[in-house]
Amino acid sequence: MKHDLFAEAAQLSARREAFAMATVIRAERPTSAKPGAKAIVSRDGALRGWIGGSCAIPTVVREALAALADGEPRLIALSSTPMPARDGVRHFPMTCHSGGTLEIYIEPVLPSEQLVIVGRAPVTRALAALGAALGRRVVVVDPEAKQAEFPAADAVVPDVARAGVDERTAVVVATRGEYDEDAVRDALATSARYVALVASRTRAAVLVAALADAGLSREALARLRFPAGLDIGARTEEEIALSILAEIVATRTSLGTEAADAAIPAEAIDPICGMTVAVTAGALRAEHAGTTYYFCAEGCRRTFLRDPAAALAGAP
Amino acid sequence: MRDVADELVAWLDAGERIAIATVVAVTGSAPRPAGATLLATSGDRLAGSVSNGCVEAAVHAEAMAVLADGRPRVVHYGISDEMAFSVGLSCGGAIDVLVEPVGALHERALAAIRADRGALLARVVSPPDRVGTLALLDDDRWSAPLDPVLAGIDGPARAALRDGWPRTVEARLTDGRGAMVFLEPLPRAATLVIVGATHVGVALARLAKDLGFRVVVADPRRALASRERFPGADEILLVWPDEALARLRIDERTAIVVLSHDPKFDRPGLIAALRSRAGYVGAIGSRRTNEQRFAWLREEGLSGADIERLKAPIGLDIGARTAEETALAILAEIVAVHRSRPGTSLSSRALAAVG
Repeated sequence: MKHDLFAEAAQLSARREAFAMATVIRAERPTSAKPGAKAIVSRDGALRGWIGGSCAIPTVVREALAALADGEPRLIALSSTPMPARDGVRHFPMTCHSGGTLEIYIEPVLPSEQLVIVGRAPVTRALAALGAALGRRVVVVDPEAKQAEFPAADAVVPDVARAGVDERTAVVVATRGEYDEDAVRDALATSARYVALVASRTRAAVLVAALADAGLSREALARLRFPAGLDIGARTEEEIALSILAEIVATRTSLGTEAADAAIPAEAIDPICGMTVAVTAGALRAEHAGTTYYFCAEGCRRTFLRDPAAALAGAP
Repeated sequence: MRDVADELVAWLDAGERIAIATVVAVTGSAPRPAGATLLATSGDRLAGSVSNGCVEAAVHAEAMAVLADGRPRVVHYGISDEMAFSVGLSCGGAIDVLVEPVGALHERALAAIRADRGALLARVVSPPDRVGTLALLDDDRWSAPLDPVLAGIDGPARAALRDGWPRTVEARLTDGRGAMVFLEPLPRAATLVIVGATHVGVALARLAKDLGFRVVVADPRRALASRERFPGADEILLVWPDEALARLRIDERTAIVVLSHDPKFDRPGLIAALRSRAGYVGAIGSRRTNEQRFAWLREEGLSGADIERLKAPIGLDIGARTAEETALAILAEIVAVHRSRPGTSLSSRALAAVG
């Protein structure tokens, strides 16, 4: 099974999908999971693998999604009895079950950050080289560019639609006047977390006005950064690339989205056991009197459905 | 000319006849800046670029003509120009390119570059009958005694060498005619001294070479300051930091970065660095390390002005996570300090300007 998990992890990485790997590192009987037990949690909250039963899963999923949101690994302890606080360990009650303690290490595995450069301007080569040196996946977008011109690039594609732009992507438009309106419009239509234009203020102002006339919303245009980069007095192409990469790093938040909080899922309290449950697409739920309730496990849900009113009356 | 120095050396050694083309004027948004250089030989070899391919073929033809008749010329390429349109300066703008045979002054400029001396080439770009390289300022001395033309360009030439920017100045020829002279400074490469051959140092050396720095690594620990770890370093000094800094010619174009994480290397390195003329001194460390560091430097008797020069915490605050990103933050700060810029986002101001 572990082998399958690693294969699945490799597939998720290849598709640039974020996931968290949860590993049991300590188990105090009675527990069903042993040290070394592993599970993968994907961003939709689905858990594959085994790190313990229904008592542990909701907490692990919730912490895994939080790890994906803030990019930080965490160590959690699940115990049915109160435990002394330890630095660097987050404690959670294991309320559905009697006895046992599980310690689980949860590590977010995020796809590499991506740099997409539109245009075959002089600064493109410098940006590609510096981006590659910083460990970014580099994609150059230009209808006429060839891979051989950009040895540092991982891919050279003819248009933005084929660049695989996602929220861990920064797009730099450096077309120097050629097809720059189209390039900026295409870039702003993606989920890229950073879109910047390499142009003089004069040229950029003309372009922004033209795009506004063409119907692009103010909100969309407000995402566009221009001129690209930090104000370090850059002169050479390499220095301009440096100032832009520095700005890309400076504007990064944990997951690479501008608002990392948006990625932290909503939470609900299981009305039966009192556990905190992540509200995900796959979460166990039940409707009662127009309200949705969420559960840590099927057992709690069954208890609730037997007599919702009584369950709510006695809710913790 | 610096970026084609290697090819120029090799081709001169091989006895090639070489023409050198230099961008001497730029209007609008041209693909390459003034001072950009293309070399072409009679044996069909090419190096460098004056327009990233836009007009290279046309410039090559001029270079062949210059090698045939030996007469330097200035050629104009612009988008409004019918001829340039046919060769397609697609990026817009216009450039003037001086094409001339490589001669003795170019060879001496090359020698200055290779010896890490600051030099400057002065080239007449008009009137047409006087076009060509006129003089070389090498290590503070002109290649020929100052005649009336040179007298006028001496001040601007020294200013160009200081700030590294090419420029065109007016001068008067001995026959009384006005002339335009293009000044191409070839300043010493900025030097980055990395004290402490740490993990961040490895990343810093690599990125700094791409930015054109001359990179010197100073660390007495042979296993850390190895050629394997620093393949691109121009110099590796296996000595204590104070001794290493004493050996180097340090000026305003020198940046010293102390990365050792160990007071026994940090302290001698920092004292020597802060007492030097270095344009940038930075040291890595936590806030707590830095508090102790500043207190200790005061106890050592360094002046407030010297201590204030120390950039610690080091680097622009960009939230760097990896060694490479830390190196990026440090290099961005070095450039910003050299150019007296704040290092903040350019776009915030632009958005306000557009409304």
